[in-house]
Amino acid sequence: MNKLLKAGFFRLRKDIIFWLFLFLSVGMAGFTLFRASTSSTEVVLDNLVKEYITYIGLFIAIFVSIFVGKEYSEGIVRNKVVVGHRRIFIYLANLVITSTVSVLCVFLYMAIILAIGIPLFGPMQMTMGQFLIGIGNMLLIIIAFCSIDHWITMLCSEITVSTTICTLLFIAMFIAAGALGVTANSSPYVHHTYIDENGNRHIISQEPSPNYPGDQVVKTARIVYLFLPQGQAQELWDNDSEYMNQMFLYSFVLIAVVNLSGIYFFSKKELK
Amino acid sequence: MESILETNQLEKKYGRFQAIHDLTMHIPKGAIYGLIGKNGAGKTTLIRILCGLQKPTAGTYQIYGISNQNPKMIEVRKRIGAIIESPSLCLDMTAEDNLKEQYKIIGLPNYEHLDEILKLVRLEDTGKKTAKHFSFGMKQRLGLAIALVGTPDILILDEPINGLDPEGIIEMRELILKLNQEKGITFLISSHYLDELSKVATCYGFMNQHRIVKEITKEELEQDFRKRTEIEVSNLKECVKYLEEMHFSYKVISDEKVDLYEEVNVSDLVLALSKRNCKVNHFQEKGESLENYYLNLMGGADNE
Repeated sequence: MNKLLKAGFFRLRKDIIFWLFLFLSVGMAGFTLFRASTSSTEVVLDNLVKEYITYIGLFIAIFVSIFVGKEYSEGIVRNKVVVGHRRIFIYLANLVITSTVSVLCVFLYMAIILAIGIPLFGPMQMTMGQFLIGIGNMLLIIIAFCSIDHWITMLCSEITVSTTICTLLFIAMFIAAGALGVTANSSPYVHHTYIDENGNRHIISQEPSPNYPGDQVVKTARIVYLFLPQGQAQELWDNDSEYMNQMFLYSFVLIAVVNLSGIYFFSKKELK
Repeated sequence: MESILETNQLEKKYGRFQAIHDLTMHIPKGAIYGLIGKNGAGKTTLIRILCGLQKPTAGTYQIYGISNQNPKMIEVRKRIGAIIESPSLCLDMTAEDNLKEQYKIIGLPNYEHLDEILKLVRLEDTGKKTAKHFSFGMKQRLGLAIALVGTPDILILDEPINGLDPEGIIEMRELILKLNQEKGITFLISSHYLDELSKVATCYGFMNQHRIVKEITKEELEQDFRKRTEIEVSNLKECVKYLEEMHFSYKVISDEKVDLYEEVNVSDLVLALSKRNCKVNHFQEKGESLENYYLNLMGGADNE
């Protein structure tokens, strides 16, 4: 596995898609800071830090499917099998490389946001504990995204097909997470409120919401929403989310299931 | 002769399609084994199985006496290099970087012999040019160079000269012969170019109907290829009598035809037979080729 990692990181340094991903992350950080600095509304640094995670899935889909897909199209996966590498290690080595790159890109983005954002907009509002839990969740979300895209690419072996599937899957997840998030966070009541002169919201009265889908539907939607890496990425916006531990668990389960099944199917796969 | 690679009743099915059936072959150590068969005969499937890319449905194969069912096969594979259909190379990297990556994949501690390998395949002057800008021949040679990293004992080449220009074909041939003679590498080469294959192969395996129908050494084949003269005579009895007296090597083909496996003076032969009241009606020199042999073996043009 060590040999495969060394070879993979060697190839990575020469790979244009890796450098594009890296520069794109720096560019996104710059763009986010520029947009925030010209915004007329109050800027919360916490949101800027977490913004990238909500669409990193798209970049991961493109990066993983092209980087790993190229290994197939150029015969490098085949070559690794021919010279005696076990398929489990071939699978895992590529997963480690793509996950490392994706984490690196997100951390690079965050480092730039924090380094320039703190002097511009002041410190973050979340506590160190919340920040660390958020980082932990982000790591798992990134690995989950990489695992899914890697699974597709390693089993598909056609670079154009895998890139298309990974990209479409992210778009589907993005739309699904949006819809599921609305359902999962829907309230059984409609609140009538007013805002006082200090900006505080007060509930005057409440009545059952006619659009409430029911407790079971909300519960199911929440589980699916929190199971999807994209749903988790959206849930991370709430620093006080009560589902942080659940998200850790779901990510672990997702990563384990996807990768174990990926290794199983890749071991059985008839390579050309 | 000691076999370095053997298969025993190998089978491969894709659903209902039988790609390989009851395939048994033996590749002697140090040989250049030419694998011959028409499209769809199962050559590439066989190569994929031997390289561990696919698993046989039934049967076994051994490399250096280790069965494919033995976990040690993973170790044996480190002694194999292969080019299957197209060379395995990273198009965004230079020839040198491609080799360096292979050194890392194999786990070699340093880049010893890297320059030597590049020189061997005549790619030492490609500098910073990436593989995507290489000609097809250069890519094939780079693929061979990559397969040579780690000094393998067996090289498996699937259609190595497909798409090469005449110069590229000559270069590839010389390279194969050099590696076989100087480094003792055993080759398994599948090719459609029978004439070209006959210039390097030391033994052959003919595939038909998804199995090996004949294995033959170069010497045995040459014996079959012997130049012969076909003579059509009016009196076969007298002709045979004369050939016996002269201790000539011959074979009676029909009531009127004899194949003569000797260099003879035509005038002397015709004169001698004429004295025995035997007229020579037709006289033709014939020579076999690998192509003819293959066609005869496969049942002639009907099989093409």
